[in-house]
Amino acid sequence: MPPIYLTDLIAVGLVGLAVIVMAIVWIANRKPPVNPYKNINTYDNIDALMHRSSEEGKALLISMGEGFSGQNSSLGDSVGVLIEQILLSRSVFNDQPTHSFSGDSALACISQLVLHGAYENAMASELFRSEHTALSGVSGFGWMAGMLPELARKGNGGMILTGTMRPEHVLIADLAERKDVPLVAATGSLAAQAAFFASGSEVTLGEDYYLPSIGKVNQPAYQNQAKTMNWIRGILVIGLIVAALLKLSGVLP
Amino acid sequence: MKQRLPVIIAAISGLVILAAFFFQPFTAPYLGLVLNWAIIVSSVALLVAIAGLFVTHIRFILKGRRGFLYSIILVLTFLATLILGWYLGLDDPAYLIGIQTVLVPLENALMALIALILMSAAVKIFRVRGWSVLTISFGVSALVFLFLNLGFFQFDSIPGLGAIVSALQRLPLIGARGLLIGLGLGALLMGLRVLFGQEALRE
Repeated sequence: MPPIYLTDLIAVGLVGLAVIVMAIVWIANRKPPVNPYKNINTYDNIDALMHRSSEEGKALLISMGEGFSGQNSSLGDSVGVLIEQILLSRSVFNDQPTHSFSGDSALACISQLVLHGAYENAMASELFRSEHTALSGVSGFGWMAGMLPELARKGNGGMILTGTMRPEHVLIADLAERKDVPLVAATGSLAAQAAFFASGSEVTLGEDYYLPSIGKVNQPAYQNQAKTMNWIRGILVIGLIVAALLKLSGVLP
Repeated sequence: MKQRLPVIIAAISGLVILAAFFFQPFTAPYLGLVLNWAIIVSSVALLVAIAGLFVTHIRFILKGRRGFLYSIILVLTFLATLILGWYLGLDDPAYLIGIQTVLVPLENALMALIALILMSAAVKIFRVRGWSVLTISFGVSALVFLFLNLGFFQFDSIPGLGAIVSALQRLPLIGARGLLIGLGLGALLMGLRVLFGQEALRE
């Protein structure tokens, strides 16, 4: 029987550590924190975009990225679905419905469920239309190509890109700029973050993407997760420094 | 309870799969079975999503929605690809060449366009974001590493310089590793929140 590798054991240890720290933070944060963390700027901008599009009677577009399946190994789209859920739950009664576009079949189906759930929770199932969420392509390029004509339409109040992206998707930012459509990009992909940063769009940097909190929605989870991340980061930094010192002193091989 | 049950089932399945991934020497056969289920489910999802896409565009054509010409092109090319694929078979060389003749030039043209747009973005970054430590370091590092990685210059012949350049070339990797640790942590915690059913929205 093949052995279990050391990296697997380290991964198990990290998951265990994360669970323990999460539990401690969750127990310690039963009351609202005295000095809460500020919201991430990019997510505040999504909130502002939602209010503006609602006041102007324009439609919001959400692009959900390339999806869960295929060659993507990131969890980015879980955050994308969460952002979609927040947006839809707050824009059900807007004059113009919010449209979402997915680049993956599984994501398109889940997105359809999220949309239906948002209307059902608002007791407005009769307003639900399946065409408000669509699969716009089954690859990174296909998804982008299917979405660009929708972005070019008149009457769009803004576009939110969320999920797994590639630097190539900066074409969307370029079109949004030319059409004067405000764009916010929330992605966990480093290369895409760099490309969107260069394009001048609002973009999440680093792990900010994994801390979605729009307005007051998701605040408790955000506070807990930010604190847990800070604690684990601290532990990891100490671990790395100790390991480096041990290596330098010859204790570790 | 009606709402909790799916969360409990999802959490248990997720935790079992997570454990199975870590202890693959013992769980590989079961993991393979479950992954096959996942492939079947995602294939069905693809069928459902494509049917949805097709119906949506047919609806756009029937309504005469602005830009419905794109919908007509989509429906026609979809049907042509599907029928030819069925008739000739997916491995047919003529069918594959036909698909590649359309896809490869299109993707290349898009890549060329993206190169131009990224170049213009690099020039515009200071106008859009202003002159700050972040933008200046972003611009300078982009230029320096572009220059270093072009491969036009060989620094090995100059003693000492080769080692300095090689150390410099490793800098982006080191920076990316730091960012990736943060992203990994974020993804891990988000995954655990989903597994424990803690991702529900609350104000």
